[in-house]
Amino acid sequence: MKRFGYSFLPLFLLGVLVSGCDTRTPVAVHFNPDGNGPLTSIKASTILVQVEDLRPAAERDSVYQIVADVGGTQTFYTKKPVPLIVQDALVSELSKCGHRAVTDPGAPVDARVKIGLERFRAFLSTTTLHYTMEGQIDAEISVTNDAKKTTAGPFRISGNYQRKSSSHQVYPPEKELSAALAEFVHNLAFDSRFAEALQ
Amino acid sequence: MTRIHTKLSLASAKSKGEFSSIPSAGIRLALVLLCVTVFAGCDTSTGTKTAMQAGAVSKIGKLEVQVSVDGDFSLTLAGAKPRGFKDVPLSYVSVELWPKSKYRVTLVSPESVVTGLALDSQRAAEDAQRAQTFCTTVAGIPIQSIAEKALVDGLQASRRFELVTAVSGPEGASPSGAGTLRVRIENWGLYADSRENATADLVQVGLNATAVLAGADGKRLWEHKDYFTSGMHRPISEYGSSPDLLKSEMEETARRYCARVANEIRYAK
Repeated sequence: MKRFGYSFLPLFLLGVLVSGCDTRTPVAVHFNPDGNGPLTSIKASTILVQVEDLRPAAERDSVYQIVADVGGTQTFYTKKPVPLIVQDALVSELSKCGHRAVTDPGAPVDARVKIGLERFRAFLSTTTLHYTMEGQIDAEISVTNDAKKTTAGPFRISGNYQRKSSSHQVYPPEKELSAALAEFVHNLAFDSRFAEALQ
Repeated sequence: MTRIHTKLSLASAKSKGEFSSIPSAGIRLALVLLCVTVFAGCDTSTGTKTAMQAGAVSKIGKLEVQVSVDGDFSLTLAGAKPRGFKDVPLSYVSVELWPKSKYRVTLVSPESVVTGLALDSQRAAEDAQRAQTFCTTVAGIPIQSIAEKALVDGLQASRRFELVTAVSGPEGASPSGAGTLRVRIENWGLYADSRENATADLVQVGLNATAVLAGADGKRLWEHKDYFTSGMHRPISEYGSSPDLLKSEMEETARRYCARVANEIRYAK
């Protein structure tokens, strides 16, 4: 019996290594509008916000992924579609700045904001001394002002947040992605090209 | 990629009397203890900016603006290629001090560091060589004076300060008792298009800069690092054949960056 046990253990471990262990973990990304900046100084208007998902196909399935050498993969995803997360964040920011933000393309509007979302992802990088968890959001923005019949952009806006750590526990990148989203919306709201195009 | 990710629970092993079966366990434990001592609590968060101390900013009456530019036009094409796990062979051995502990130690193989440095060096040399050909055509872009004027005008228009002036001089507290905004443009020029579907020769105008706002006592009130780009992607040959296009886009990008910095200070709360 003891002999059988010793021979079974390596086979069992080999089976675990070969088959791996794939898990999917939900990530909640939060956003609190600031309601400050140049957008508060321009005339209140009705603004259409649309997000086009231009992320590579490989990045649409997960916002963060860890592939272990033993064969397992831990994938992190958002329950709410990523384009909707970005759209809702900008809508809430515009609303707090005194504008009427809409998402229905058929509605009469003063300006149309199109966000071409190119990246919404967390990364893990390493150096000799520490690990860095990073949230990165990249998008190309174009604004069409229906009243003035002008189009501004595309111009690039990014949001980035890094957290360095000497430990490397695997955890959902909620803090990193939420902070990167806040940075992204802030950078967009404070960009003079954006405010001028909406005026 | 060669990565060995082995977690050994020393405490667990010890409790089961298996310590002797782990090779060099004593040495590993000593390393772990050393690193825990050195790095305990070394868990930092760094964003691209620090929060503005708006209360202190509102106490600044006079503001002096200083812009410095570290270097000439730069080109970042090959150097922008990501150096990820595919390029660098990493070898890890991670040892867990005790089960569910947050303190762990990671050892990275020396060859990964050497390989990475060699790749960086090779790519930087490629870019420097290509940039040389552009330097003659863009030598006339007065990036420093454009940025300085845009900042002074933008901040003066904000009416947040009584007086905004451009100055030059060493870093530190202003001898005139004014607050200081120092913008350092680390590099500026053409950068590779980082989009996934970008072709090899698509570039855009941009700059990397750091803005630091300090009070009259020299204390830092706000710091903002930024990679700011025009967003217009063009083939590099288009800029090569039209120096005026490069000049106008570079000037506009510098002005837009400064308007952005002025907005950050203007709306600080």
